Amino acid sequence: MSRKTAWAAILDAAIVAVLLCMPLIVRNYYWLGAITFMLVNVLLTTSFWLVMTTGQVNLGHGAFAAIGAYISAALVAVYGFSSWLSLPIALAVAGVVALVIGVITLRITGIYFIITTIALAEVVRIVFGMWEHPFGGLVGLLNLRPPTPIALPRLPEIRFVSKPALYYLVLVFVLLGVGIVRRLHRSSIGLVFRGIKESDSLAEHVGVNTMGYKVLAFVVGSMCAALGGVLYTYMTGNIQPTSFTMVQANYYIVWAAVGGLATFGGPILGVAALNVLSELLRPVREYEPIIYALLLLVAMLLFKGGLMGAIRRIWDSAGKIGSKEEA
Amino acid sequence: MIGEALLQPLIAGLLTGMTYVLVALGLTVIFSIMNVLNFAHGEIYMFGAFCVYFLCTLLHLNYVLALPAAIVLVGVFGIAMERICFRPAQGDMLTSVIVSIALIWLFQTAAQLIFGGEPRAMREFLPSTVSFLHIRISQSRLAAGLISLLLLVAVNFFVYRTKQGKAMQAVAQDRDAAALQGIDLDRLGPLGFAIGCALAGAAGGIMAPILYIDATMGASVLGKSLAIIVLGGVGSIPGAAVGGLIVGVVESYGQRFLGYPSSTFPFLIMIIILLFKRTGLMGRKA
Repeated sequence: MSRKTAWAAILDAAIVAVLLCMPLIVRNYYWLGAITFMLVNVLLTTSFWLVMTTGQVNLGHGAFAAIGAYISAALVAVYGFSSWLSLPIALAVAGVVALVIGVITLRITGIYFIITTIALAEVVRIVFGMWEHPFGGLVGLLNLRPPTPIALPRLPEIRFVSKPALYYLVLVFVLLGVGIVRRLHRSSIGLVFRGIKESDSLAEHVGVNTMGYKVLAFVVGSMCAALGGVLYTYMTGNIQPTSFTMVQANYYIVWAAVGGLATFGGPILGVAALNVLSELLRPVREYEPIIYALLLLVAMLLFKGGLMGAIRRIWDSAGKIGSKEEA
Repeated sequence: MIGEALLQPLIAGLLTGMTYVLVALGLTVIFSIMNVLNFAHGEIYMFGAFCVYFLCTLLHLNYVLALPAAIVLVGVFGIAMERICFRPAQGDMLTSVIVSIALIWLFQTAAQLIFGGEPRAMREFLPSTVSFLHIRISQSRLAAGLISLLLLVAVNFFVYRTKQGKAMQAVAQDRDAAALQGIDLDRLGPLGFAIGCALAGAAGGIMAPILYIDATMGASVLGKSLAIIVLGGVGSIPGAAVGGLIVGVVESYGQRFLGYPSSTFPFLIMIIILLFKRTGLMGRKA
């Protein structure tokens, strides 16, 4: 066990080290931008997956990203707030909205919950599309300025204009968000989440406040989504009603499932693999969704357990061969 | 005068609602038999519309012949889809949801590549209008409503009066018990998909002369039919009928008096009904 955790710690450290050195390795700004987007997608997908570990598939996940993005962008662009004040306000608003919506809708389960959250995503999209001031109606908010520079005493001002600076900014927040999700998942609370997924009624009978845990997962997941939405506005400089729709949430479920839903690493692997694939398919852009869809069908129907499941099987069989040699 | 203003949207809404009922009914039939929520159902609707369009424009078929031909084509397509994509995923809801998302991308992009991005319009099948009691309804809308009603009656007859239909009801109630009674699920699955897709294709074909046809026309229909089957009760045929008519009428009044915000109404009605009755208006207990 200790050996396993040691390996896991080394792997974590290696991943963080590679991520920190990324702007030195990848000199091409286009690719660096693509990687930054991938990081935002990792945050959105793992937080989506966290809610899923309680057994609730939230296709309205993008709606919370939209709420975060819109509120932070509007506070800065229309009311002249600093980015670093508007960010926590946006997250808090998304959290409160998630709390209210979660308390109302998390009683609904299964297919009914999925459809309810689709409805939520549509309602949020339409409401932002109608809301002219300060959210810009159907056009949205365009040409947003980059995040406010940070001035520390006796140090040069940190500006977030260049691609590498934006990359590091996004990296810090994504590591923070993903770290929180992982901490929660690996704690005893995460265990209760999975217990609720296995059997909602059994968990309730042994005295677990299932509703409370579901709301907790939903609020944390939605606040991470909002953070992802804010980072999205930093990257693109705009936010529109169509930026985060149910179509986007479809991507989260697909990325998570292709990577493998059983483990924390699965969704991250899925995002990485499929985002790289999208980039590779860029030359044949108009055929991209077809190729994507066909690969997805093959992956879902032939390889159950996703990429992570496949890796585990290979790892386990390699381990067996190794132990035989030792014996 | 005020009576007219109130009655006109009611009639229009009921007629549009009839086609919504068709699409939603297809979705609910597939769900109750296969336990699959087919998110690509809107694309099947689009497929029906394109079938009618090409049968009429390329083969110069009469609309009266093109519509049944398109319904059969889409039905056969449904059988193929069940066999290739959904049977391997059977039993697992999440897998089938992801498979159907993949199908949305596949069908939409394929349609875009084959038919082009430009929306197409067909020559209207019945261009004139009917008026009675000062209410004017276009003949093609009236025909659309009546054909939908006819198909609904036919499906109702099939499900409640024939042996296959009763087998479908049995499967919807309890798969395992139905299989133990000797009902062949592998035969009923394709049948359910054929009927479900044919209904969506029929709705697309019926709306083809009225609406613009393009590769993304299925998306809004899917949202509405999801709202309809949930508010009516998933798996319930009368529920889909009532839900479809409610959504049609509310949307019609909303567009008349409020405009754009009314597109949230199907979802808002659905959420409100779900909060009071968790299985929808006419759903069985889960």
